[in-house]
Amino acid sequence: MNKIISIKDLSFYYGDFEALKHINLDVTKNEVLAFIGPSGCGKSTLLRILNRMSDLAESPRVKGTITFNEQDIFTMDTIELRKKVGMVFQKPNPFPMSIYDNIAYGPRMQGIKKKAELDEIVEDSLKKAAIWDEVKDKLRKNAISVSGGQQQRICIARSIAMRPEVLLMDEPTSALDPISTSKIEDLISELKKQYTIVIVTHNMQQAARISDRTAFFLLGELVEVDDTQTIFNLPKHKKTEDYITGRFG
Amino acid sequence: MTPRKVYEDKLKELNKNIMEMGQQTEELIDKTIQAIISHDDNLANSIIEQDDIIDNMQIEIEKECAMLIAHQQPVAGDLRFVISVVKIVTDLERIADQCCDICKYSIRLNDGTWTRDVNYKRHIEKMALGAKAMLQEVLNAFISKDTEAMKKICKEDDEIDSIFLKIWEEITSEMIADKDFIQNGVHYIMIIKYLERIADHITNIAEWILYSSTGEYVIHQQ
Repeated sequence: MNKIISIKDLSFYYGDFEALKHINLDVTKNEVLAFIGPSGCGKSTLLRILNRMSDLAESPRVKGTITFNEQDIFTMDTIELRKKVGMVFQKPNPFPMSIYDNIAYGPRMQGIKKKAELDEIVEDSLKKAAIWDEVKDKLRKNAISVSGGQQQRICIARSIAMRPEVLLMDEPTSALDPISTSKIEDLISELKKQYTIVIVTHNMQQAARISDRTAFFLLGELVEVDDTQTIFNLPKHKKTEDYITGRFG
Repeated sequence: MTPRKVYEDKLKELNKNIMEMGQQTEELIDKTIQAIISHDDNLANSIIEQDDIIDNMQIEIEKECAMLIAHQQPVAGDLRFVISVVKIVTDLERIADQCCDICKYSIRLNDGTWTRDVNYKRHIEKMALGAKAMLQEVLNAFISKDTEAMKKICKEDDEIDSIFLKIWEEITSEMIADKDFIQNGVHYIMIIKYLERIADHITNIAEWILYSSTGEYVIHQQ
C-alpha cells in the first residue's frame, strides 16, 4: 500500500472537549476515501486537521501524529502543507474577482508572473476541473456570476492550480442541484487518477458511488474503515449498518 | 418515532407478503399431493386455476421491491433482503407452475387407459411430502433466521434427488416390461421430474435466505 497520509493514535480537543479519540488511519495514494457519520462525529474535524485548518479553531489541542509523505504535518510550514493538501468547501467560495484571477491567484502568490505561464496554468486547471469548455469565453467575467455548480468546479480548479497531491472535500455537493452534483462526482472519479481525495459526505449514495474506501465515524471514534463495497454490502459493525441504513443519525 | 418509520413499515409489509406467498405455495404443493394420490381431477383443475393468484402475487411483490429500491435506496442487509425477495418470488412462482404441470399430468393419468395401481405411487408421495416439508422448513427458518437450518435444507435436496433416481429406474423398468405402460410411464416420469425441480427451487430459496441473512453467496455452490 502506497501511503500518502498516515494518522497514528490521533486525539483532538476543542478546549476540554475530545472531538476525536485515538484515530488510526492511512490514506493511500490515488484513492478516494469517504468519511461518513452523523453530525458531530468528528469527520469534518479530522478533514480540517489534515491541512491544519484546525489551527484556526479556539484552543485546539492535538495528541498523536499525522504524516504527509512521511513528514510530520504539525512541524511543516502550513503554507507548504496547504499547497500540497488543498481544500474544497461545502459552499462554493470563489473570490469576488474574474474566473481567470481566481485560478491565477495562488500561482501569483507563489511568484509566477509570466502571462503565458499563468495562461497555461489557468487553462490546464479549468480543464482538469471539467469546466474549461463552459467558461473559456468568459474568463474575465466575475466568478460569482456563474452557477453554483460552476462556481464549485472553479474552486476545485483553484485548488488544482496549486498542484496539490491531496484534495480535501468537505461536503462539496451539498449546496448543488443533482446535475451539478453528478458533474462533480464524475470529476472526482477523473481527478483520482492524479490526486488523492478525501471527502466528507452526508450522502450515503454518493459515498457508495464515488469512493474506493469508506470510514465510518461515531462520537469521535473511527468505528470501521473498509472497501466501500464491503461497507455498503456487509459492514462488520452493527452501528455502521444501522447508520448507513438510516436507522439512526 | 424511530428514524425511517415509513421505510421500516414497508420492509415489514414486504416480509409479510413474501411469507404469505410462501404459505400459499406450500398449500398448493399439499393440494397437488392430494390430487395425485386420490386421483381427484376436480382438485387438480382447481389448482391449475389458482396459478394466476401466485403469478399476481409475484408481480405485486416485484413492484413493491422496485419501489423500495427507487424510493428508499436500501443498502447492506436491507438491500440483500430486497434482492433475495425478488429472487425468491421467481422460485415460488416456478414451484406453483410446476404444481400445475403435475396436475395436468395427473389428469391425463386418470383417462382410464391404465387402471392398475402402481407400486411406486407411495414413493412419489414420499418425494412430494419431502419437498413440502422442505418448503415448510425454509419458511420457518426464514422467520427464525436460523442459518444452520437453512444449510441443512440445502443438503436435503440430495435426498430428493436420490428418491427421484430410484423411482425413475422403477418406472423405466416397468415401461420396458410392459409396452402398454409406456404412455403413462412418461406421465409419471414428468411428474417426478417436476417434483425434483420443485425441490431445486426450494433449495434456491434457502440459499437466497442465507445470502440475505449472512451475505454468504452460496448459490450454485452445493
